[in-house]
Amino acid sequence: MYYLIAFLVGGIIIFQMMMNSILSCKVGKLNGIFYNFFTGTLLMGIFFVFNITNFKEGLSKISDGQIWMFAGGILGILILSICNYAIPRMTAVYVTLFIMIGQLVTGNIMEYIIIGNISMKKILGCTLILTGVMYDMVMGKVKKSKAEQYN
Amino acid sequence: MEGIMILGSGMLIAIMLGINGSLANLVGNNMSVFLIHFTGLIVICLGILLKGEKIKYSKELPFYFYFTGFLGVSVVACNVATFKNIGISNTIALGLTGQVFFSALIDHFGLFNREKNKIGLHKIIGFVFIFAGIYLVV
Repeated sequence: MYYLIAFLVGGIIIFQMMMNSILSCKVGKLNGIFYNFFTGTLLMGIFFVFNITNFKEGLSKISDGQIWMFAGGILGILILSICNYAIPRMTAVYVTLFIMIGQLVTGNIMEYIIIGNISMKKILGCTLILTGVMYDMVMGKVKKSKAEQYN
Repeated sequence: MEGIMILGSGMLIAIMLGINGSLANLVGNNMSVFLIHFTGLIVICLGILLKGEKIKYSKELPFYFYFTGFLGVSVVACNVATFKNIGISNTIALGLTGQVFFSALIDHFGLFNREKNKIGLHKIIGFVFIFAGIYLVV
């Protein structure tokens, strides 16, 4: 059951990105991002107000946090604006794969900086993924996708 | 060019996940999701104000397109549940596989009014490499 959920979550992420990029094309870049954060805050805000899940504990600890810990939302905006620009101009598969490669490479670099070593397995895995992407791109003669109706 | 931009956004996602993770460690999952959306909302509102834009609503799109934030929250909620039950690496591997699968689906059928890009043999061979890579990484 949980295996299926984990798999479907991948789909939700893709659908969210696609839908938001379409929305951004329609109502403007800033507005599109606004709705994403607005509806997210709305849902969590409802949970928060009715204390459906335990928020009290977290609330008291906010002041212990360092300022960089709260930068996630700002980075989220940056990421969304890049994605909303690029998604209508690329095929969905390559959007996914490029994001994945960027994430994996940076994740490994961060791990290397924090922990100090990196496993051969991970380097091999990243190389395999890159090989797959390259093979597909060269053989498939990538066409740029145009979602014309939305541009 | 778009590829490089998207690559950069993937790098930012990794950094963001790290930052959000440490916030979640401090204030708990639910509170962190609320705070992340809330700070994002404040910053984007400031941006809209500074640019002098108005908050627009277009009737051309179905209503549910405005609720992508709900999807974002549900992703986090599902991730928390699956992390606990099947472990982090399984969650990441299956999530990535799901992403590749569903994006291939979108391209194949041209969902969301996109150009169709059929799955061919070259894609399947490429995917075999990619899935093997995902398996090794996590």
